Amino acid sequence: MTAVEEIQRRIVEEFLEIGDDFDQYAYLIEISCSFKPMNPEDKWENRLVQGCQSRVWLKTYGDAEGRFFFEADSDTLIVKGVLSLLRQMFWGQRAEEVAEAQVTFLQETAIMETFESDRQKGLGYVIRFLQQKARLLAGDKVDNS
Amino acid sequence: MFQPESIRGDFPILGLSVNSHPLIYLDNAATTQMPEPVLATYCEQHRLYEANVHRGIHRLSQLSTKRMEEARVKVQRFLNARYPEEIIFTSGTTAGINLVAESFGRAFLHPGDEIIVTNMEHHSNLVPWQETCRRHEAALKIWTMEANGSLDVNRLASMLSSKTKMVAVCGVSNVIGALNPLDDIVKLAHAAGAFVLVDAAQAIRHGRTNVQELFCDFLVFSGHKIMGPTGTGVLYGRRDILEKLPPVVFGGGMVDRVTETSASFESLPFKFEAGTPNIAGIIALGEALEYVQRLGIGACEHERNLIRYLEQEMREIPEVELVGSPRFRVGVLSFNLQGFSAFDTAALLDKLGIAVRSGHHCAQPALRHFGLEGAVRVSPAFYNTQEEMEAFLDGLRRVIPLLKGTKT
Repeated sequence: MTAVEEIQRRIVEEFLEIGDDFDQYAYLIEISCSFKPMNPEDKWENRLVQGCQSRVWLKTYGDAEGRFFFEADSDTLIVKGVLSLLRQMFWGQRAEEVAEAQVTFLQETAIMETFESDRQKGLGYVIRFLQQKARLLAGDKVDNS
Repeated sequence: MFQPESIRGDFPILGLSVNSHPLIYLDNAATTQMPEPVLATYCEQHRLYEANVHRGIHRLSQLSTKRMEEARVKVQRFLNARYPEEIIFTSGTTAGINLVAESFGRAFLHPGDEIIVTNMEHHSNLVPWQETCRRHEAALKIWTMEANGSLDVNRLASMLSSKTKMVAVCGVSNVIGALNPLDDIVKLAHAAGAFVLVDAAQAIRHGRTNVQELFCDFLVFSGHKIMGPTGTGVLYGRRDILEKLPPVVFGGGMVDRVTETSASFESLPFKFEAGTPNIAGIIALGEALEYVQRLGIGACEHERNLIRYLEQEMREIPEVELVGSPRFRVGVLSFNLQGFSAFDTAALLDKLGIAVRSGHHCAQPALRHFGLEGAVRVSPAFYNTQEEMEAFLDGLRRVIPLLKGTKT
């Protein structure tokens, strides 16, 4: 099991332990605060993830060791909570691992059920966007080496 | 006095639990639940009478045809239309408006003509007119609501002219529940020589509809917003006008004589009902209208009391921002919690078993009028109880500190 998969497993376990659906969402709302607010100058239009019902801003970057990082914001707290879980999974992980990870926690918990199909598609797009960026970063590293 | 408890047993779905809480269904402006007699009628049609209509000479086909035409008469009576052939069955409000917009455009619109719609309309009563105007080089004029969400008929009077061919307006707004002054609108529009289409999708359940008294030219509604099945709807049109309109959908059931190169069409109402209709749905819709009629006006009054109570209580919650304050509000109440997205509020309420809708409610211009992109909409029906309103308010009071906690 990769580090990313291990974190994902813990996320799912934590959620299932909470049990009550309302409390699960209360938890998502709570962890939505864990993001420090994104700089307004980083929230320009191009960073908006297209195709998501909620407004989502993402800024990705890597370090010299090929580790992946991202900052995010959303106008919806629950979506921000989901972004926070994604950050737990991906933050500081090797870009190749992020790019190849199977993101399943949204389905394994009840989180996805509340999202209507457009927003589900939007979240799928967010994950694809992050993994594409990670793939590019991994590729860059290979190219540079 | 109407007691919701006396009829809740007719709606088995109201006994469900959702997310381990008793379901409190407050999304009736989107879709209402069907009572047992409607469900039974729907199933009975499939079980005992399934056959196509207006085609076969066999017994089942005759019975299906008879039952569907009886449903047409039930709708006629419900609307107090003069003739059954003034009732066209559609798949819903959207289909009804599209039919009129397309057909009316072909028959009556010329370059330079004008159509008036309000900025409170559901997209279904806006976009079809945008398209029709574009195709016929007509102008679409927007009648803007007042700051509080009411319509001022003086504003309409100043917009009407000999160029106006149609005024298309909702009876009740699906966002703020404004009850519009249809009588005045029809009189003013007719005096200017314009036709009037009433989108009654929301209004149909909130009071008596009498098309002869209102004297509108067209009126449309959906079955699923008045205890009928989804995929059913009604277009009422005055017979003399419908006779002048060409069909816009072609195929089986609407033709008289067909050669390889041409066709002549059936008379009303069939010329507008191409293809096999939603037979069981239509018959069940007839039953739904009778069910609502049996409940009487007391059911509508009960609903109004629920909305009035909610509005009064929600005004006392400082974090609640109600959308609009029209002079007369029925059916729906939209709101936001200060600084929080409608989606977060509705999603948390859902986890408490409370079904409300969030988003733009297919009325983006209406929400933008209030400077909003979205709102939470609560829409009770006659089967909802005072206790459910209190549970909804309790849910809201539970959600508010949770959301506010993220700001501290």
